[in-house]
Amino acid sequence: MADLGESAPATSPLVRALYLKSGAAAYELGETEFAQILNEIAAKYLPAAGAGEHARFCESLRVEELALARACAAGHEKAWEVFLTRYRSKLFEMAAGIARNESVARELADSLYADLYGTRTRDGRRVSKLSYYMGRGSLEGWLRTVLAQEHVDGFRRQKHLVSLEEQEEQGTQFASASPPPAAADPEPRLAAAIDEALAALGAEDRFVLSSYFLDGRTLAEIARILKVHESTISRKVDKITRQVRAGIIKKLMARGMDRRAAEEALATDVRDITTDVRARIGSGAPGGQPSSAPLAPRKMVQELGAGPFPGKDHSGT
Amino acid sequence: MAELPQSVRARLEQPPPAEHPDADLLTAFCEDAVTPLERERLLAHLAGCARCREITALAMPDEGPPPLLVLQRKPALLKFPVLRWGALAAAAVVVISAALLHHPGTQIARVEEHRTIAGSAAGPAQAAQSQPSAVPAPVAPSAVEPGKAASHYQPKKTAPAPATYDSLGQMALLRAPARRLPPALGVHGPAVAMNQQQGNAFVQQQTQPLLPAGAAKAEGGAIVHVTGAASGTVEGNDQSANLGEVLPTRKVQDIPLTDNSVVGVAQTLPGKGKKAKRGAAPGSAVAGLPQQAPAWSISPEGKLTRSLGGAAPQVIEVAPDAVLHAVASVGSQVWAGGNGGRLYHSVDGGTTWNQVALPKAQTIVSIQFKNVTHGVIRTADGLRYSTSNAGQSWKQIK
Repeated sequence: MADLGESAPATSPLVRALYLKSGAAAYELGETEFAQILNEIAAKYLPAAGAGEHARFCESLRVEELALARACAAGHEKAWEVFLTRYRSKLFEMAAGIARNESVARELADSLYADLYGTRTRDGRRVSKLSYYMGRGSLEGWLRTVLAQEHVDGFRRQKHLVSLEEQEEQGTQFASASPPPAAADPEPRLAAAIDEALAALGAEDRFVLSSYFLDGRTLAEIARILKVHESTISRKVDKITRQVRAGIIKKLMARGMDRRAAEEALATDVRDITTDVRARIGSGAPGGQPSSAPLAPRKMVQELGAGPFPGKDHSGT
Repeated sequence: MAELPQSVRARLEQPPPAEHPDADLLTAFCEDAVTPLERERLLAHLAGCARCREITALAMPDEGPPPLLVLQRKPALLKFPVLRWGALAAAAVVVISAALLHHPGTQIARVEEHRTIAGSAAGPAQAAQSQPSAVPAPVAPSAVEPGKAASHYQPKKTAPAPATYDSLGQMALLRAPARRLPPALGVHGPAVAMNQQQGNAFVQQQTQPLLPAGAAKAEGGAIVHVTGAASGTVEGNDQSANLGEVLPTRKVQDIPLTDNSVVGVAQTLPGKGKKAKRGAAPGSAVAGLPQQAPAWSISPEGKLTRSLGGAAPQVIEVAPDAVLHAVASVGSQVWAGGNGGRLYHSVDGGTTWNQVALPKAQTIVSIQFKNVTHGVIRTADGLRYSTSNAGQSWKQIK
């Protein structure tokens, strides 16, 4: 890997240009120190890159925000003033957008702010979370991502701590001591065929399937993440689903099943039954007679697919 | 949309991986700043990691305009079905238009008849003036382009047109801006109103800011209040009653005032009444419009801003050299704090400010007040101070 700080000295034109562009001098960050930061970042993300690729990578970094973050982490007062002026109000707005609850958002923003300032010390020095910012994306985006991480991790930690009232509301207060029966594993041949069919998909296709069918994300949300149009995702979901089914049937037939048996094996999962049992047993009909209303298909949403965040729409498209 | 069997979904779900990409990489992915190789690796991780998928979805930057969908198709107009159905539709339009024009009971015929009678009564020259189209030519441009309305339509104010022509012109003026102008335009932009005493229409250039939306006061001491009611009547103007049938979504009310000064005009679109009412300023002269609490915020430059009813934020000068980071308000009581531990308090909605002494001069980053007396501030060094007497004394809390 090309070294900008040592083999290429601090007077290297690229380092010099990036240093001037970053405005690090205003925060009393030296050029050598700045070059060292660039080297650390490049070593982390491009451990075996050539000089040209290394230079292009460094040019793609957000050096102004990187200098500001590192100066804040070092405790520079002026840098903190700039940071507060630029990001303090945004921090709360971003937290409000993530948590969708004012008190939770305020707590989230304050907690992150404390981490950014550095309430913990290591070897007598304050440890600021801003020292982990590498300048790959914008500082505002990084703050938003860190807020999202904190929020998701916090929620996942609390997910297992459910109050008795909540359990009662969910109807689980009389749960039996024995664990619920796990969903039966599919036939070994079917499981192997499914795994092979999924492994044949590209990473983006698997991401689309997971987001749509497991997380219950809308087409628009997935399209926004992948920076494509919503209709592209709609076509993609259709295409991948058909492709997976066809692939599984083909692989089952290769394992000795005929086509009909392969299709039956794929379709005989009890979880795919879309009958509304409540309507079927006639909860609204007198005498427990079957309701005359047409059976409403109910989309079965898995626990994960329901999404961890209340108030967020996970109802598909 | 095709469904995926549950057995496939179950196999798609994977145990969470031990390592996750760092926040920098996820941010770069969200901002489309990763290399193709990094993107592929990230997508492979995201496909099997529900946690990172959730984080990515939450960390996406604010939505901009959606990407354009590019369709590569042949020109649709040249296709045979389009030509065939297009020709049929054009023929149908011609037949229906002809039938409407020659039917004696249509409104268009009535208007033409009405106009012809009025024109002949007023004189042949004025009848010829009202002949060319159903909507008078001098009125339509002023209604479509509000910025040019005053200059184009000013002559009508000084030289009133005949009665029939006036009624058409008034209705066109009242109708067109409702479709073209945003609800708040009546607050800052040019305004249109009716003068009932003179019986003609005029255009008024509104210059006063922050006037109440939903109401207008015209010359002669009358307010013309345009609302989005669906009654289809025009009160107080007999000449435009017929045209009220053509415009079923307008309603004009007269509200008398004591003085004769022109206050302003605002228009409320049907179904958008709430939006237009947000323009109302405190102390509005028009009753019935709710007053809203101002929204306080800190600008990126560290200045306190106040926004009244969705209007553009207005910078409030708290102290000349104050750089603020946090604000909180309870009713008319406002608290703002920032650099150097400066905390300011206003009891009159931001008109006057007093600096509040704190035990430590550390930058204030957060202020919370649950009522006028009890509040908590947080400083840059992570300490929190609370007050229970409206800021007269503060104590550090753990």
